[in-house]
Amino acid sequence: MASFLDRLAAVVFASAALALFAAMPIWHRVAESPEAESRQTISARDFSTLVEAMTKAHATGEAEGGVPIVHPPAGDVYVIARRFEFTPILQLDVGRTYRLHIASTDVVHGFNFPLGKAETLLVPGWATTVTVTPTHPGLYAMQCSEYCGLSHSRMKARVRVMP
Amino acid sequence: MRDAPSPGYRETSALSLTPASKRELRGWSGLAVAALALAGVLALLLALSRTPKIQDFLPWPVQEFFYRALVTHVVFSFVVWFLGVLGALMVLTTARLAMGQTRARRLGTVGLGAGALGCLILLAPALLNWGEPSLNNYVPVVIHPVFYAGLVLLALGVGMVAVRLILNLPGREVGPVDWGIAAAAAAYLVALVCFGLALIAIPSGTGEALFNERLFWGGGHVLQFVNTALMLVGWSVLAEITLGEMPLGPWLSAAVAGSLVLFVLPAPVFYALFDVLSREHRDAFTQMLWYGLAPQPVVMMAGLARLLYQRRTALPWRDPAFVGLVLSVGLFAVGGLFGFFLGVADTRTPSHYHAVIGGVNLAAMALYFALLLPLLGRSSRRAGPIRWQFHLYGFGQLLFSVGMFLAGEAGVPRKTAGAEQGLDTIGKVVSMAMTGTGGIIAVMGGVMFVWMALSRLMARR
Repeated sequence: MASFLDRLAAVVFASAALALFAAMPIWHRVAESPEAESRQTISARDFSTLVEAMTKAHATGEAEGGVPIVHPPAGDVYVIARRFEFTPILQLDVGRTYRLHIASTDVVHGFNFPLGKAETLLVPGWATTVTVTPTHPGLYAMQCSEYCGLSHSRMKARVRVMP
Repeated sequence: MRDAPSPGYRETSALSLTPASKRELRGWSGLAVAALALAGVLALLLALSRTPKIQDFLPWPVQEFFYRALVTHVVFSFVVWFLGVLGALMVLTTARLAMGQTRARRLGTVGLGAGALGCLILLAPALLNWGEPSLNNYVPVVIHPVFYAGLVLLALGVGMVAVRLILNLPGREVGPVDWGIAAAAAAYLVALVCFGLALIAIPSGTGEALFNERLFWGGGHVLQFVNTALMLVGWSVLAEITLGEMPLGPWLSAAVAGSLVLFVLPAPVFYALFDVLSREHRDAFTQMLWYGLAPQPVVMMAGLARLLYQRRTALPWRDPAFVGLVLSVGLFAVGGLFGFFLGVADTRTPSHYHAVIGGVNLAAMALYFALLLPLLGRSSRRAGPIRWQFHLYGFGQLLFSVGMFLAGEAGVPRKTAGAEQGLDTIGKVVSMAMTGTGGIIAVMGGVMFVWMALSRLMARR
């Protein structure tokens, strides 16, 4: 009896494992996060120029860890990802819609930004755009999600959302 | 009249060991615990290199030394230790299958030599200030040809023992535990294939950080199947030694072992399906782990729960092997549960993997005392200190993981220290204090294990 139950359990388990295995392509589709972002090619130099112009026009005069804080109006905003920082730090307003363009100017970085439902790779030469409409004030983390060097774990910034 | 109880796994293993296989078993067992001892020494040097005044007396540049030593510490405590235990169990299984008629016998000796030489070479960059460190996932490296050569030698050494085990399977009587070790060996060989394919697929000119991350990403995920196979084998053997019965029947054990191999088989195909530098490649391996590594421990835990319920009136709580088994299962279960509540960038992620890896570690430690040392004629009659060691490591690691989980729930970011943690509430401070206290207790348990295992292994008979 014990031997029969053992064989039966083995058949049930093996069948379940095979079914889970056969469903592998489905897992891939189910787990894939919605591609909210779009991408355009742009050189590091051109992108840096856009960031400098925005920072010059909308800097608050404050800085965090040497990184300037900017308070841009709704519309296009630009952030550079580079080892090991995101610059500038954004200060956004609740209820306004921003098109956040982000690009790496050195090596490949990951971009994890739950507020913008973004999880993507930032390959130099490409800018990624996500649309963000904050609904609640607070501090929202963005961080690098692809190993980029010894201080990778410190590559993070906090977007400030004001009421 | 009752039949005499049939001999168990440990007893039949002892009968199968030839002098040559016993030498190999001693070699891999020694390598495993020596790796932990070296990792401990490096951890001490890491602590000293961060201590004001004392750091001035160290004979090397502290800043450069720190990260190289950290990399070497992680590789020895996480990679070499598990591979050493795997090597020992593969030698044992080969001996059990072959019963003195080992095919490709020399692969074992050459493999052990390559593994030991690889470990020696791995130490050189940290001690001689060579190369730049890289803290990439799974197998962090010092970017220097000598370090990579050490890794290759170690990988090939273990690989040879794995190949020999597979060659000794056909036509032999294979028991449930043997299937488990064979599954670990097969998964290990798949991991080696993944490392090789990654090396071929990564374009030249890729930055060093991304190169190392993607080189070890796929194979590193597959190695977690190897670790899980080791743990499940550990649970089966420990249950049989302490409760007189394995948790699962032979057919179900074989099905569980086979499923571990089944889920890693597509891993090499991912290198053809997805660009090795893409997010899709990264996610494919993560999903393989999430979906393919849950069913086996759940089934094994159900079998153990049945066995514990049946024996509930006479559980051997004074037997250190039983304590190690229960703590291993408990810690792994807590880690598995935490896995369902992961955040994005907070300390809930490390809380999950520290508990899960702690469960694997406890199973390996308990196997060391209950199986490997007795087979080498080095068992101990003093159960108390061993039991204490398991309690310290198990409960310390549990406290560490629960503290990290609560801190993550409260919003403490992972991989930060000092002011960066933002410990601005009582809850965050208390949970991180739990983490720190648990860490210290677990380290005490780890040091006790190394001391007791090494002293028994090296004691004169």
